[in-house]
Amino acid sequence: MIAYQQRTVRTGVLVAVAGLCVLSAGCGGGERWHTETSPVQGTVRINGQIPKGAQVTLHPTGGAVDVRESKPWGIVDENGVYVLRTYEKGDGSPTGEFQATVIWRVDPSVLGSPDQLGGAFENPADSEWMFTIDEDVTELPPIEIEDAKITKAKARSRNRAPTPFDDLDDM
Amino acid sequence: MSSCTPTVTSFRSHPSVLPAAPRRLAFTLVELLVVIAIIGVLVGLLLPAVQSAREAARRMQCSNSMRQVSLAMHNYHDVYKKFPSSQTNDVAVWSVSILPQLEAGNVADLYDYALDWDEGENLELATQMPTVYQCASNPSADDTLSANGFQTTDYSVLRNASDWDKYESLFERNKFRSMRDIIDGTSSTCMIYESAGRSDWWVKGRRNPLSPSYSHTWGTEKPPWTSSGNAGWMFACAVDMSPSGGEMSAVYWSAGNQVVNVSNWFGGPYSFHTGGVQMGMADGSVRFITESIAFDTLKAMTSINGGEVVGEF
Repeated sequence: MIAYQQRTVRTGVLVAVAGLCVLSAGCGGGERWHTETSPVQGTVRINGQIPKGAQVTLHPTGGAVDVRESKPWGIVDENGVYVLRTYEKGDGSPTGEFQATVIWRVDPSVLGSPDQLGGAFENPADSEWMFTIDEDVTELPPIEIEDAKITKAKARSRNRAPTPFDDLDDM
Repeated sequence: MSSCTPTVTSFRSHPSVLPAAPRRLAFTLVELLVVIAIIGVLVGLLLPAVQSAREAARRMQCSNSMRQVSLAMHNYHDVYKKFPSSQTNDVAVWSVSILPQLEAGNVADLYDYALDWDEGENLELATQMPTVYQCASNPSADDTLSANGFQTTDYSVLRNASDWDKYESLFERNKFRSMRDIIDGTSSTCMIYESAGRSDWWVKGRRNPLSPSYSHTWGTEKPPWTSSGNAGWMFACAVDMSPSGGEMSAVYWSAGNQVVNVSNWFGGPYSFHTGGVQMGMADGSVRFITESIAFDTLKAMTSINGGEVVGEF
């Protein structure tokens, strides 16, 4: 009788283990379309000053890094350093060849905030900064812009094309 | 095993004590526990499946609603040879214009086109919104805006293309387009899309997250379902949530790579479905747009005259 019970216990344990295996097989995963990234950062100076809030975007030249065609980007902090991000804050950049563009919004947290550089460095085709990121790169060469025209005031030309931001307040 | 055989033999030698046929009449505790464990595992496997089946059904209902609205737009076009504008001054917005085509003619009769949407008897429409304007997955579907008591739609039209300085979208302020204006092709041009839960402000699944820089009236005063706020546009936006949740640590407008399901602010594409939003194309079909869609593909769908080739999406 005791042996019979032992056998049942053994069967029970086996079934329980099998059940746990089935359960754990359903877990795991995450965002499958993400490309692996590694931390990369760099510095920006405009007319020798630190452009706090400027946005650096890396445009891949050798094909898209993922299905979303993500472009690694970063915001310059008060020390003049930008930390690249692709999916989450600070996750870095995938490897590859990139052209960098720079936009310096008056306040990046405000919708429709204009570029203080007047869009002079926003076109990847005109970019003079070519970066190659491989597994060993954690620091990009510095971006230095000299003699840039900085317009603090919001361009309110009468002939300017209307923007979606104009009538937000009467929405 | 060796001790088992003599035991059975001893049962057979005393048939009066225990009959041979039913050897045991009860389950042991261990057997019961094993059965309970198996049932537990099966229920554990089944319950998430049931929940996702329910969500799939809600999504189907939502896609049906969008199809009805698209059909109403087409019927409006049949009558007037033009689509409605996203808004005509402050008087008529698309969601009011197509009411007769949604068999909501009685609600349409309440609306006075001589007044703005927020004047006089037009205020009576606050809670008269047809249910077809709402997504079944919206957890706060019956809520109204706290500032004015108006219901909100879960569906939005575009008020401008994402490349607004170069191209046009199907609906714009005071612009009435017809089918032949869609030279990019109706099957690759967006007509309506989900911007759900707009009686609140949602950011990445959180309702009304606190933000130091938040001063706009979105989710409290805007957008009532009869007002011009029912039209938005698609823009990239990056939001960092604080680890504790409940508030945002940083917002970057027109930055990053994510467009879908970031926020319903200003009519951004947002839904309560997992992994994306639904979009009604100008040909009347309803497509599911995943969160991993490339912004360039979305931009191509927002314009009617961009000349882009929209690939698979």
